[in-house]
Amino acid sequence: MRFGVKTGKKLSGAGVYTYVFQAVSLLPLPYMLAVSGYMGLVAKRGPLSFLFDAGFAALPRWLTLGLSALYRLTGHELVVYFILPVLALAFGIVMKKLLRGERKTAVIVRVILCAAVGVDLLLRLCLPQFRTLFGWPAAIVGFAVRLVMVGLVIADLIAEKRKP
Amino acid sequence: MNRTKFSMNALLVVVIIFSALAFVFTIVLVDLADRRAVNEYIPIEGTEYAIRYSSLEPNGLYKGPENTCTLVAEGNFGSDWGAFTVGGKLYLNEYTSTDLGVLLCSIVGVEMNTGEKTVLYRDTVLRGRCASGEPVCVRGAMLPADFPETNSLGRLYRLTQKNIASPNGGEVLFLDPQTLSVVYTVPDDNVFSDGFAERYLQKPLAEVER
Repeated sequence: MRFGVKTGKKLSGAGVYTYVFQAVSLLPLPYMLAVSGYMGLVAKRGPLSFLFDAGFAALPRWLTLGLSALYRLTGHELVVYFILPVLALAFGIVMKKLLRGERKTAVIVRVILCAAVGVDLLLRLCLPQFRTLFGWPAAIVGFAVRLVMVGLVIADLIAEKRKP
Repeated sequence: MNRTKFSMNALLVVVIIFSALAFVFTIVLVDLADRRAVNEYIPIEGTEYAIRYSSLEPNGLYKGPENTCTLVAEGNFGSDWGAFTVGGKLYLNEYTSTDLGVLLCSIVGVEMNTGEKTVLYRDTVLRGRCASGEPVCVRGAMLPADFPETNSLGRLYRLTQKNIASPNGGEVLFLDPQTLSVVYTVPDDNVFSDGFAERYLQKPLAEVER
């Protein structure tokens, strides 16, 4: 297994989004792992709880809401814990296949991705309670991630259109 | 931007495997090693039932005197904030804990003859009766023991509930004493504050409604 080996190829906006989604999915995990070892951590705010908040604020809103509902229904944090990396892994594998497949499919995937992130961005602006629940710093991180991702995917689509 | 061969998928697989191993140590083994000796018998006022926490026998609702009592229903019950009987069922709080130790509470009804347990309201805490006799409950609030103001897990838990504006917020419910349906609801930003009894329990429902 090799990590961080440069191949010199250009990474598309959708490709960056895939990596960012996967990285963001990992952010809430250290807090949950730490709390499983020492429950007293919930009594104070710290860097791990900020990572947890930032992770959930940056994840797509439908996913955060779904995980919250699942947590309430099951009462098991471990379900939430393992769904995050498994989903990120599945997303990574599927996106890799789609983006490297047929050109038409790759364009459709980018359009869907752009629309999904855009709607998510609008939802953040429209529903203030979701914006602030994880705290303002996490909300800013979440908003910035979405904004950059929309920009990258749009740039990706423009570049795709200009291709001969 | 240059593409790197940073295999995020491989990293995720490693995270999943090592997390599973870590949880075996932090949750399963720690739980197995937790052998504290406990033996508490708490009679419920006005009934022949008692709540028992014991290291030797199952925690639950017991019937009869301390030395000869028999188990009616298993569970971590609490009657410190009240319990009441309606139609052959005893209603009281049942506390459950999540994997990581967040404490949740539901109001359950235990059939006194058969011991059958049914959940009346999830995520709800029975707080007593108001002056006119209606059972008073708190719904949608995290227990103070869970540190709702700082607990990030609590934020995720509260995301899909109605009243999420305040960390200690919830709804105070007044139940019909016979049908146990909700007859009046009051949103409250600090449901576990000290003045709860003065605000809701020491007043008749008609006065609270005003």
